[in-house]
Amino acid sequence: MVNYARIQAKIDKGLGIAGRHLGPPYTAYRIGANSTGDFPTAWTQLKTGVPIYRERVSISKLEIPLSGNETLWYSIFGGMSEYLLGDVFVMTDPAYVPGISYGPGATSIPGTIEFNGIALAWHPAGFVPIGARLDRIGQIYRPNSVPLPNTDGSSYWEDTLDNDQPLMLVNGTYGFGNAGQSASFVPLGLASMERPITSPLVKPAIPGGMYMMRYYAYLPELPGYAPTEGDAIVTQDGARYLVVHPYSQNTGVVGSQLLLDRQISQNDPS
Amino acid sequence: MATAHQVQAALQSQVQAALAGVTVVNKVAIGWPPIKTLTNIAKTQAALVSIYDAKGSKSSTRWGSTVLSQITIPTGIGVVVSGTVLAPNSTLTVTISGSVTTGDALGLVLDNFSSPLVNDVAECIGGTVVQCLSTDTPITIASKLATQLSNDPTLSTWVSAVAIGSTVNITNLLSVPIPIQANVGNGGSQVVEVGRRLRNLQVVVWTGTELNRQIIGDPLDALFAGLEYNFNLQMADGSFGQFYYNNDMYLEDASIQDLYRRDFHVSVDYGVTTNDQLYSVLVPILQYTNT
Repeated sequence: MVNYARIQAKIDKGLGIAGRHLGPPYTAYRIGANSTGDFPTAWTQLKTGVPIYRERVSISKLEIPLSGNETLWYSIFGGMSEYLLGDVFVMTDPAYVPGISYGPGATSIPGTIEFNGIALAWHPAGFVPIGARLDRIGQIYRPNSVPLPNTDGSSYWEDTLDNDQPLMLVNGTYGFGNAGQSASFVPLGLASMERPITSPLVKPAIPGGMYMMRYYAYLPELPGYAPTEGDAIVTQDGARYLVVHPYSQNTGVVGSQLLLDRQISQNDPS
Repeated sequence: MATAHQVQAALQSQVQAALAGVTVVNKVAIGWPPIKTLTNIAKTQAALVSIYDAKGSKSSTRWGSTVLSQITIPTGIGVVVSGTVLAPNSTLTVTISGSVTTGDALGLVLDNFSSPLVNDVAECIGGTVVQCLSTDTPITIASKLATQLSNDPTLSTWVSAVAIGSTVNITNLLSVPIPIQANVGNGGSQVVEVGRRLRNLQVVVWTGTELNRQIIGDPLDALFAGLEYNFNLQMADGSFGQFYYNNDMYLEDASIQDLYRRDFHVSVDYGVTTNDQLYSVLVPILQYTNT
């Protein structure tokens, strides 16, 4: 008897054939039982040269009770039957050579910290697999529940990065370390919302002053971690964001879609 | 002359001195810091102190204008008249001596009592002033005086003047006696306090950690209390402003993460001054009325 699973296997096979002809190569990563440290080096490399062709898809077609399109969603045309939700694919197309390859130089700027990635977010029966755009890595910190000790023996509720606990990947599970430790890098997709005029972040409103700036981030499924309000995300370039509205799904389209306050700009290039 | 900027600059100097020995790298500047600087403070855990006009300054003038200091420039030349009254048909000599100091001037005053009142103003006093150049000598000054008297349409009908070296011979052409006097003078300046201002200033401490906020903020707390109690605030021109330490506060309001702020509100009551030029009165022309 043919059921939805068998039908989906045939769909996947067909998509895999399509991807093989149209898609550039990706490397597939998954958090393994022994994974400890930063993405991508500490994640288990499942396979290289996975051909994936992707097309942008509207959120209205996805199982997400949100109306905004702040995360970039893709229909994945590739063989996803062997992959799990949360697996991450990073494009590894070699540098652009006309007629031979079509990577950096044609689809991305070589030498930058951004990468061309996809997180497998939804793989429903009878539907094309859905991926979310990933473009950079960042570290996550959570405000400490323990006040910071002062030198005079008093303590202070320091709800900032100095006393925050780092999110660290240890043996396949994320957990918070101690203040002062460095967080593990995780993959994420970043986007900015339109720029509304709001009250200045630091008064008075001098020319060039900073106003509330909202960003969006997509985080793939990170076992052991559920984003909460006040979590800080520090991207590789030093920019800092605070989570003001976490929204996560573990069924349907999985992953976290976060509304962020941009707090600190990126470092100047050296 | 104390200005708003000089008050801020004086306070900046005091704050810099108070923080010279602290272990935290800090910058002290006037004005509101750019947002990029503030975010760098949050990232580098350094410190910044901004001195900002807190608005609401007002007049604190309590008395009329007051002369704070005065400078007069002594003349380099001198003048002597051989008499005080020039009798009819007689001659007196005006002798000039010394060397010119820049700005020197010589004035000669003649009084003709036979002159009528015109439009209620006496036409009886006349005079002329020789403004000296730095290249002038008593001889050239005497020559200029004689020339000016001879070329004056009124005075030339009263007297005749002939320069001989550094002396001018002046002869009365009228039938009435003419009182005569000569004066020399230069200028000067004076500083006048024409008003006072009570200016409110906000000294904002920005640090990247709570500990640094204490390290930077506490010395300023002591500094401001000391300024109020001991010395007041001295300006670049040497004047003092009355210093008031009004209040301070830790600010934990919505801001950039990792930015710790402490505000000090102080006021300075200082004088607004003008530098006026002073002039010598060499030819006092009186006015008479018939009322």
